Formats: sequence, structure tokens, C-alpha cells
Amino acid sequence: MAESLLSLENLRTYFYSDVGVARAVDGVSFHIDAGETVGIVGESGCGKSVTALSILRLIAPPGRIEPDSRIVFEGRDLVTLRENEMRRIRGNRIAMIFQEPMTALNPVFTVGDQIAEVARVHERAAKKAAWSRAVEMLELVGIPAPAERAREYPHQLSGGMRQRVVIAMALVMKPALVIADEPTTALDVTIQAQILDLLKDLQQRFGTSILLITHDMGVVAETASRVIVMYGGEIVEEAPVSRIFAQPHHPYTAGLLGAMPRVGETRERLQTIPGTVPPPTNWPKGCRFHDRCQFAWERTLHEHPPLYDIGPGHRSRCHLAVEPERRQQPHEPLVVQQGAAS
Amino acid sequence: MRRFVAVRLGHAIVVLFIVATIAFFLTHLAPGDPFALGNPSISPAIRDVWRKQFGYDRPLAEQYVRYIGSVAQGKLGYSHYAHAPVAEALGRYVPRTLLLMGVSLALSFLVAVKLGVYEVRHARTRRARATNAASLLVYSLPDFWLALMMLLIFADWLPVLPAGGMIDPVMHDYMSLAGRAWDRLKHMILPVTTLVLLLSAFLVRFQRAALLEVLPSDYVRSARAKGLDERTVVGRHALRNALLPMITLAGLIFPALLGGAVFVEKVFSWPGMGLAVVNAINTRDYPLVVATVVVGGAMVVLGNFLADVAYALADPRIRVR
Amino acid sequence: MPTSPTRWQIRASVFAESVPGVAMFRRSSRSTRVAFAILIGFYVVAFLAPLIAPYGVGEQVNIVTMKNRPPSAAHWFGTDNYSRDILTRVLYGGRVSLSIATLAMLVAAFVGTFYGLVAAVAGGWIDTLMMRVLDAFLAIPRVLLLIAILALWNPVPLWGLVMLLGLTGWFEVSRLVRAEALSVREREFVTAARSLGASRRRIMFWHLLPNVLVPVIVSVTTGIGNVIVLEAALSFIGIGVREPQSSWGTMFYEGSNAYAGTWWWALFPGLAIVITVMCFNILGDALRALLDPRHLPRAALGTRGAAVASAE
Repeated sequence: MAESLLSLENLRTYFYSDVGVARAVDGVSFHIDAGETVGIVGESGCGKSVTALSILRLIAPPGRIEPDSRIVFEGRDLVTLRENEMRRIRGNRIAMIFQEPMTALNPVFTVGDQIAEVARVHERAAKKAAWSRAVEMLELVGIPAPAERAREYPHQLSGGMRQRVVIAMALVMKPALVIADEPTTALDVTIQAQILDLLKDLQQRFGTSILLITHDMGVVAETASRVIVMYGGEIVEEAPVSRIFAQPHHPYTAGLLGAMPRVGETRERLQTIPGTVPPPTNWPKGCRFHDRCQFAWERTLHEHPPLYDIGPGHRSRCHLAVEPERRQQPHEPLVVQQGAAS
Repeated sequence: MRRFVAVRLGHAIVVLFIVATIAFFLTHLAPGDPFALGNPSISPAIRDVWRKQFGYDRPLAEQYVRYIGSVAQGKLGYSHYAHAPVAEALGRYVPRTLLLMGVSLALSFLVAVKLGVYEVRHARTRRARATNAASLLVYSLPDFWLALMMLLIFADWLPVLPAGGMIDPVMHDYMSLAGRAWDRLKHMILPVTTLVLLLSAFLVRFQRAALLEVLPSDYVRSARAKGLDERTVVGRHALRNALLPMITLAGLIFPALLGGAVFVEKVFSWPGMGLAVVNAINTRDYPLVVATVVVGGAMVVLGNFLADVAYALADPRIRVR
Repeated sequence: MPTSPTRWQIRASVFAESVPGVAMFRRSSRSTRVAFAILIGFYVVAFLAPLIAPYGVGEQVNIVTMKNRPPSAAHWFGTDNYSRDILTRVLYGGRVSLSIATLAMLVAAFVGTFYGLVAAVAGGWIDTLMMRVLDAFLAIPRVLLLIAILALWNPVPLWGLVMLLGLTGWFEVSRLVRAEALSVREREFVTAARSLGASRRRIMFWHLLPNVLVPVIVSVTTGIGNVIVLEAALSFIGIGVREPQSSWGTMFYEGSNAYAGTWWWALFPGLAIVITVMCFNILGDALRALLDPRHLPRAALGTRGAAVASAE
């Protein structure tokens, strides 16, 4: 079996505060192969963004990556890497695209300068060489009149163009992995599609792996080959894209899919998942989705489910894997019964 | 950008107008006869002539209009003590004050920026906390107190620097060019150091706060994600944004700077506008005293205007489109 | 397992939480508490000066033998050239300096709050005009304005000095008040629109006032420190407090004219000033952070950005 490009082993990232320890990422393990696009889906607060930041070691105190976590990238453990070595990886071998293109770009430097900076730092390119690389990249991401645009400031560009600039900034060094944290959330729907197409196109061209983080199942359906669903700081389901949409196993995944408006379906209301995510300082003892799940029973209250293998490349953290008959006994989720549902 | 400058200019002119008005009311509400106080031996008859000459017997409204008119032309009254128009007298002093203030402000900024970046980058270390406490201490010192201490220590106990003035009263004209330059420099060291200490202690706190406000921004995170080292992240990406409020601050501290200059100039006998005012109190040269209100106000307004323009130039969001 | 609190304990803690002072005290740092304690101490000592001063005010111990004596057991701070005990003079000087500064800042707070509220509530061209006038006052360096007035109206009685110091110190306060009032007003209008019809202007005023007091308190605290220095500085050039009153400033002025041989004349009043101002600054910083972390020096924003929170 070929070695994965990136392999997370039991990643735990905790945040320490006066009110307790927030276990934002609590034992996450997965891998990404070269050229693959993997999507991580989940609500806000499930730990997906923290996972992404942990990979690049951008977690600042009071947060920290717990000692027995391992993040193996190109054969090296990033968790124990020295800071100056880590810096050589950031922006160079692993790049990140953030959610808000307006705030992700420094307002006082030109767009070209910010892209060229990456080349100057990692390639020690001379100013002129770096600048022409920046213009090249702008052209590559589909910005018209790139030479003029490079001299402009972020506030002069539209939202879609800014995100293209951010993508250009990430791809200057042709990284092996690009982590895209909600790259289209802040954009209009039409621009969303363009950006996703751009990402796919660039991936083809450079063979980059993409780790796409989003709360939008639709985005994942478009671009990813494999999907990881996160909830409560853990992975609750992992499967190839086709299987996840056809045969979601975990009730949370089903809930997310149910909440998606779909063309051709007629429904009176969008299904929502009742209740809210529990606080990361106080994860429930058993299954973390227990009180919002319509199939919950005593076992799920007390016993924390492991990731069960339920098919080719398909894992699910749900006791329904071993007691599938419980699926015939749906009921009102506990939060609704206790009147705590929104 | 041009519109921005035009608006600011209009603002400045309005403010100047009001400042002149305030000065007018100061002169005319003050008790006593403006001419009786200069020299008691002047006879009442001559005072009457002067009164008519300077228009003090006209109705208030007319005097006001004439006053504003003459201020606009740069005529600020007549100094009985100096036997010269106030504008001429001040014209000698003001540049010296500007020299002192300008140099001090520039150096203070350099110090404050460097120190601010250092304190933020090494935030929890003992050294950074020590400089933080030190800046609070220095910032709390009264300006005249610090000036006196400096004078005491460096001109009296360790007599290394001159005790005042701008140039050596006796030897300056006989020195070579280099000698004269050094003489001037030597005389500037103590007053400038005093002002720089006070100013930078004040500025560094704001610089630190500005940096801390900017650090959680997304673009700082982007900079780190690009693999830049902390020095570049803080010293280039964060700082460039944190400097913007400092430019505005520079404009806002002009009044305090001018006020402080008064006492520092007195202690070091620096022949600037501040010393002139202090002397004018003792010689009861009231036209000069009132004129400094106008001149001081004008300097502040000009300074603020320049700071606004500088801000507009520095922030691309205003400068471009 | 902790025992459940008794009814009285609950009531006590609720009370403690609601009284802002107690809650803040618990959250403050050690240096803040020390500064606060020192200031309280100074005020108390100054108030009790007649009771605790070792000698009478202005008492000349022995003009022949006891003049200009350095600090000793009998005279902790030494004596001046009229053989007056300097410790006594510092205590009485504290009364003068502290009361002048505190009263002046109260005047400033009052005028500034009023001006700022009126400007915010009036709005429109009145607001613009008021702000322009304010800008003009802010443009004139406070020291120069004070010098001009004090010199022209020479001699100025003590209450006049207090009024002047106050009336030249309210500008920044009013700007902060106006900014706060405007932001509160935004919120209030929304709720008022939804509730029972129009709120009366007076109710608006009372709604605004408590919210607006936050930046005022911070401003006043640092302001008192500044006024102490200002008063001392003015006395230093001869136009502040005058004989027969003497403040720390006048003492320092006398002391500085003879600093060479008799260092103790200037040291103790100077030290008193420095310590007091430092404590006020520490307290002001702490109050700003505690009362509302949002109220950074940038609180009063115009189109120009940062505003200086302390009164110069």
C-alpha cells in the first residue's frame, strides 16, 4: 500500500481556560493520499477548523496539540518538528486557504506583493522574479489583466477575485497539500461554483491534494472523492462520496443530508437536527450525538462508540453498526422530549 | 483623496477661525486697561491716543472683525516689552520650538515603534514586563520634574552637558563650523532626551495596544500560514496596520507637546516660544501671551492637518479610489 | 463534595456581585490594588492633616538654629529656610493639591458630560457646530490657554484656579461621552420603536446617563493625575497656587530654586506628586480594562481614528 501524503493519528487539540478544558479535537485519525480531495463536513463547533489549523501548527496558547498526537506528512511528524522547519512547510509544502478573503488579505499591501512574498520567502527569489511569478499566478487563477491587478489593493477587488488571489497565494510554491477552510462560504452562489471549478482545475494541473473543510454537503458532493463527517471533536463517519450520499450510516450524517434542499424533491419544510452541539468543555460520556439522535438507547448513553468498519472505506461511529435493529425504533430525540430543542 | 484633503482643509480653517475668536475674547474680557500694565509711567493722555490708534474705542463687533482680519494677515498685535510686532518677536522663537518638538517627536516615534514591537513579540518575558512598567513610570513623571532631574544629574552632578540655552553664550561665534554644529547638538541633547523619554513612554503604550488589536486579525494568520517568521509577521504585516492609528495619534498629541515644551524650555532656558511665554508673564507682555494662544492653536491645527494627510497617504483604502 | 451555601452566603455573594466596586476589586491585579490603597491612604492622610501633622502649619520651629536642616528624627523630611517642618508642609500641601485636582475634575466631568450629551441628543447642525467649537478648544494647548487666562486675570483666587483647571479639562470627556451616547442611542431607538410609542427626551437622557458614565469615570481618574501635574507646573512658573496657600507644586518651585544644597526641599513634594500621578495612571488603566474592555483608547472614533483617552 502506497504511503499516504498526510496521516493524522489520534490528533487531540485542547484549549485550556478558567472554565475548563475545551477538547476541540478529541482523537481524530485519517489520511489523505497524493492527488486526493477529501472533504471534512460538520457544524460549527465540531472541530474541523481546529483540525486544519492543527495540521499547520497554527494553534496558539491557550490551545495546544496534546503530546501523543501524530501528524505524519511526507514521512515526518509535524507535531514534533522544530518551528523553523515547520515554517518551511507552511505556504510551501502545505498551504491554507481561509474563509473570508477580504480579511485574509492584508489591506495595506498590494495583491501582487502578498503573492510575491511567498516566493521571496520560500524560494529566496529576487523581487523582480517574485513579482513576475505573482503575475503568472494571477493569470493562472483566471484574473484578467493580471499585471495591472497585481498592483491593486484588496479593497479594490471583488469578493470572488479576492478569493482567487488567496488561492494564487496558496499555490505559488506548488504545495503537495492545500487545506481549504470554508473557501466558498463567504461568496455568492455563482462565484462559489467558479471557485470550486478553479480548485478542481488546479488540482488536476498540479496534482495537489486538497483537504476541503465545509459545513455544506453540496460543496463536498461537487469536489471531494472521500468525505469525513465530524461531530463533537471526533470523526463520526468516513466514506467515499458516492456511499455517503447513497447510504449514510450515522444518524448525524443523515441529518445533514436531510437538511440539504434538493432539486426535484418536494418537501414542506427543511429537516433540521433538533438541539445544539454540546460544549467542548463537557462532552457527553457515551455517544456525543446521543441527545439529538432519534435512535438513541441506553447503550448510547453510557458507552462511547468506536469507529466501526461497515463497508469498503466506510467507517461509522455508531452503535447501530452492531445493533441495526434499533433503526426500526425511532423516537423523539431527548432534546425534544426535554423541551430543549430550538 | 483630493476630496478628503479639501474637507480637512475646510475643517482646519473653521477651527482656526474659532481659535482666533477665543483669543479675541480673551483680550477683551480681561480686566484692566491693555495699555496701563506695560509701563505705569505712561501718562493717561498717551494711553488714550494708543487706544484710538489700536481701535480700542470702537464698538466690539467692529473690533472683532478687524481683529480677525489682522490675524488672517499674520498681524498679532504689538509687544510693548519687545518694542516690536508680536509676530516678529514670535517669529524668532517659534522655529526653535519647532526644532525641539520636531526632533523629539521623530525620535520618540522610532523608539516607541521599536519598543512596542519588542514588547509584543516577547510578550510574557520579564524584560518586556519590565519595560512596560518602566514606561508607565516614566509616563507618570511631570515634565518639569524630569527636566529638572536631567539638568541636575547631567549638568550639575556629572557636569557633562551644558546647563541650558541653545548655544554657548561666549564661545559659539569663535568656533569652527564643526565646533558650532557640535555646540548646538550638545545643547539639544538634554531637552530632547527629556521630551523623548516622556513622549515615547506615552506612545509605546498606544503602539502596544494598536499591535495587540491587530494581531488577532485574519491576515496575520494568513501571514503565519504562508510560513513567514514571527519577526516579519509582527514587524511587517501587523505593524504596517498598527502604524495607522499612531499617525492620527501624532496629530492629537501636538497640544500636549506644545504645552510640555513650555516647561522644558524654561528649565533648559531654550529660547523658544515656551520660554517667551514664561518671560512674557513676568514682564506683563499680554499681547504676546494671547498671541501664543493663536499661534499655538494654529500650530496644532496645521499639525493635525498634516497628520490627516499623512494618514490618507499611508492607508491605501483612502489613498486609492 | 462542597456543602451547599447557606441563604446568607448566597445573599452576600449576590450583593457582592452587584456592587460594581467589590466585583472589580476582586478581579484587579495586585499593582492596581496597591495603587488604589496608596491613593486612599493619601486622601485620608491629607484629610486628617491637621490631626496628624507633627507641627503646626506654618509653624517656624526656631528660625535661628532649625532652618534648612536635612531630614532627621525630629523632622523626617527636614526643614525649610523658615524652619518650617517639611513633612507638615507636604501633608498640608497634599490637601491643597488633591482637593484642587479632584474638584477641578469634578467640574470637568460635569461640564463634559453635559456638553457631550447635549451634542449627541441634539444632533444635526447643532452637533456639528458644537464639535467644531470643541475641536478649536482641543487645538489650543491647555497650558497656553491657562497661562493666558491666569496671566491676564492676575491674581486668580483659588476657587478660580479650580474652575479654570476644570473648564480646560472637559474636552476629551465630552467627546467620549458623545461617542458613547450616540452608540447607546442607536440601540435605544430600536427598542423604543418596538415598545410603547415614543420615549420622552428626558427618559432618553436618564437612559444615556448611566451608560455614559463609564468612560467618564476612566477619564476623571487619569485626569486627576494630570491636573495635579498641571497645577504643580503652573505653580512652578509662578501663576498657579499662591501664597499663603501652598501646594506640592509651590513647594517644589521653592525647592527647585535652591536644589543644590537643600535637596530635601524639592525631593519630598516631588516624590509625592510622582507617586500620586503614577497611582492614578495605574488605576485609570485598570478601570478602563475592568469596566469595559471595549473602551480602548480608540473608543471615541471620528473619521480621524484614535482619540487620546486621558486629558492630555
